[in-house]
Amino acid sequence: MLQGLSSIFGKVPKESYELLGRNIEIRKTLEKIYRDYKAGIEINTRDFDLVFNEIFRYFFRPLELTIIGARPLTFILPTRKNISLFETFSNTFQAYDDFLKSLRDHFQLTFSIFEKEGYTTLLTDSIKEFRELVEKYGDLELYDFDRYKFVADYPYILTNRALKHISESFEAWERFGNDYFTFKNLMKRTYKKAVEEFINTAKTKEFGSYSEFANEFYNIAAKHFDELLRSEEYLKVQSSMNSNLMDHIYHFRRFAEEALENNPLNPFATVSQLDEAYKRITDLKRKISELEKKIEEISKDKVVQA
Amino acid sequence: MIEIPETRPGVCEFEIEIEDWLFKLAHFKSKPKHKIPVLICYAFINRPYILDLHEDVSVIKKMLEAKLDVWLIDWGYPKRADKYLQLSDYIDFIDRCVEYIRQKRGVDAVTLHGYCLGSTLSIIYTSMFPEKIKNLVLQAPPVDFYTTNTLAEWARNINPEKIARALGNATGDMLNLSFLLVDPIRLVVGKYQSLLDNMNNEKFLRNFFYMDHWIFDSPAVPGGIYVEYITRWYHRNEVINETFDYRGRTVNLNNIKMPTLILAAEKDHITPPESVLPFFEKIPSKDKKMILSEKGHIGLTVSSASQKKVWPEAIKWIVERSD
Repeated sequence: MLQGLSSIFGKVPKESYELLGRNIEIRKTLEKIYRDYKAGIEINTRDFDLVFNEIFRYFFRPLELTIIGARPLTFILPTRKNISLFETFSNTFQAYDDFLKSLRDHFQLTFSIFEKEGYTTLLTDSIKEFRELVEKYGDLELYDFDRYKFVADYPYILTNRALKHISESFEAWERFGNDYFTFKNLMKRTYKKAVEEFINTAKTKEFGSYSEFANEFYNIAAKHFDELLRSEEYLKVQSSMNSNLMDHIYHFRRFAEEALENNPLNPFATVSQLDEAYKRITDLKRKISELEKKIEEISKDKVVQA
Repeated sequence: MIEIPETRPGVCEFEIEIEDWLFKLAHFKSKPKHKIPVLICYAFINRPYILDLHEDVSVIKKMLEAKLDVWLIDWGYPKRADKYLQLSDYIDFIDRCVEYIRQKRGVDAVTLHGYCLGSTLSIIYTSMFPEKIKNLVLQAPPVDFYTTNTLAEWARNINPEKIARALGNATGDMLNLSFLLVDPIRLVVGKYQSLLDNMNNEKFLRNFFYMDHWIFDSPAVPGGIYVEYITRWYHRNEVINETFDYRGRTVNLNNIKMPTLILAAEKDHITPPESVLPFFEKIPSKDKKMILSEKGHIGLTVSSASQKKVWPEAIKWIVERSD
């Protein structure tokens, strides 16, 4: 519809740019529906799906990013729910460790038999090389195997508080995910009802122009969303979703801070440590202001007395 | 190719007279003729330059042309370091500005002009220090927070402590998302469909993008302030109930006896007129007036209808009480 929309990127707020782009798509879709309607083709609720996505993507995106962004971490971080996963890691690494050790023992034994029987000269160069390699890694468990074990062991390095925070963070994240899908479903259900009402209206009402047609649709949709957004059901879901999202964010940060604060190599102050400093500065500033006021009052009194 | 006019809000020149880390007191350059200075106390949500957005819709410019002496409090862009600020710090700063202007201009009292949540702060301050306020002007003022508009319902159903604990401050992006979701069809679709209908209208484009520039230039609200105003104002309705206290003083609306002008908007979905009506009836001022615009929360300031009708009338009211 609009050629050269990208030329305004950076010149207008990114929100305006995005919403303008989405509205161009909305208009294209509604104009097509209007053309079909004028041609006597029956309007279908599915035709309006794209409009829903264009309107609500702006709101859904940050929430979906939280769900998608945190998902990989659920497999890496030691929450109450997946601590058994770490035991499985441990067992797997132990089995691999045992296998490598038995392989090394097998080769050492084989080479010693060959040496005993005087077959050393028959060994080819490649077998020699392999033997050197096995001998080089004779102390494999000292240097390399522990690296794998660490992956399974690291939950035990973290503090109890860190473990508690990460579990609470992901429990809140799960509840947030459930709330989000209820929220999205409420939006979709309401939109569908609005579309159905509009289609019924369009069956009996004559629209003289595209503007009349589109405005009728917007008015019906706005009315349905006005009702939804004040309903008990919606308020409950929104409140729970916000609360769980904020718990997830807070506990995740506290987990990371616990891990950092307990690492002597960490050179950075955490947000909570800085907050403590900010609090003290703000309190001190208030005290200075009070003192300044008192000094001013005393000075004024002195002038009056003089 | 779409031609977008450059947006540079702020027409009137000013000087910063007080700078207290985050907060600033600006004084607009002019040659005032009227004795009583006007101190504008803007909201701590959004930026005050909406009152001086551009040449055609600048309320400040109109005030200066009426030879008023105009001062404005700017609450700044709070950072994480400001999360422990409290409402009492904001009221302290209003008092500091009032004292500064009184001394500098040699007057006993000033006209205090509160805007949106800045009105709530102005009412609290005026009820506690009535001797320092000559006239009170309240624009889109939320006073009774138990209203039925969607935003008020949402505010009563959120837990601000959790937001402040997780994010430090209530971020501008988060607040913007909420303000748009309150009315998604009109604000996300209707508004931009109008833009598509007016892509060749230069004046429309200019107004539209100046407004969007302002709308999306949202400062964060400090965590402590967010918790306090949601809890004490929206949850407990402490202002109209006269239970809000500040440094040993409590709000007393009976002290609002000075001339009071209220500017409200019929289609205001943020602070509907019902949020100010009980206050208007309750205050004992014998010189009180309400101007009701048919526009919305922002249209009350920048719409051409308000610029033609509301502001000339409001400024005339102020001028008549400024000597």
